Amino acid sequence: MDATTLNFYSLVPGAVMMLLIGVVAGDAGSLSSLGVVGLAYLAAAGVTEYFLGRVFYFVSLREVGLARTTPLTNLSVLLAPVAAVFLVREAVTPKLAVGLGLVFVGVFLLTRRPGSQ
Amino acid sequence: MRYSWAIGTALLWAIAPSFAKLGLSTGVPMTIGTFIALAVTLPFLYGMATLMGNRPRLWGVDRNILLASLASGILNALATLSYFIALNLELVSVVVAVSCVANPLVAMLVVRLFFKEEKLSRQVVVGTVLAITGTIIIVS
Repeated sequence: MDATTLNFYSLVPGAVMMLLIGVVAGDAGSLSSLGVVGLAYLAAAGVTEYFLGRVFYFVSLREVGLARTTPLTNLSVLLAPVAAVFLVREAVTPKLAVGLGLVFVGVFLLTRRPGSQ
Repeated sequence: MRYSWAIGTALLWAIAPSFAKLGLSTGVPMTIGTFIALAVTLPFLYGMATLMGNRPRLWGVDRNILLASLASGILNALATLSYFIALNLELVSVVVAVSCVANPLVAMLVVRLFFKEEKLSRQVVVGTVLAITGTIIIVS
């Protein structure tokens, strides 16, 4: 069974469970009053994270392998604040930049397999 | 060119939290926000799997695959829910950094607990120290 099919099978129970929790918590009523903008952003978040992101990830695994893919995908630590500056107007302070730099190098070392180039 | 898929992944995974934060800022409850983000993906995955000749079946799926999918699906949904709650409370940069550090650290801890023969290299120790130091600087 391929990764996309497995991904589909694993997301189905998760989505159902979240809907059930929403119903029990009394949040389900908000579905009827959901605005188009909120829906579009959440749909974009889901598609970029769970569909496009994972498809790209699996293709990368096939093309260059896990040892090179994982450290490169950690670039998201540095790219996320840049995206947040443009999309949600978040500021990047010098302290945050230093911390992010350390996290990036640390996670790169943690996920890089010895001997990989 | 071969590396563009990995860089594309990083780019997509970097943009997604901002989209989620924007969506949640409209007042959508966390549970419903998580449900939408997960549910919207299903037709795309179904279509992609069908195109690749592995159309997901509703019946007759191997029991082990179903159990594994159930467990990973539930954990994944709870992880997404807590991620969304964190995004609603904190800066995108902080949430992404903390989750990025926690992922390999927990994996390393699990490996150490269950596969005791695996030794910690100097690279892993230095990486851990740097990642934790960076996280402390970010959240302090």
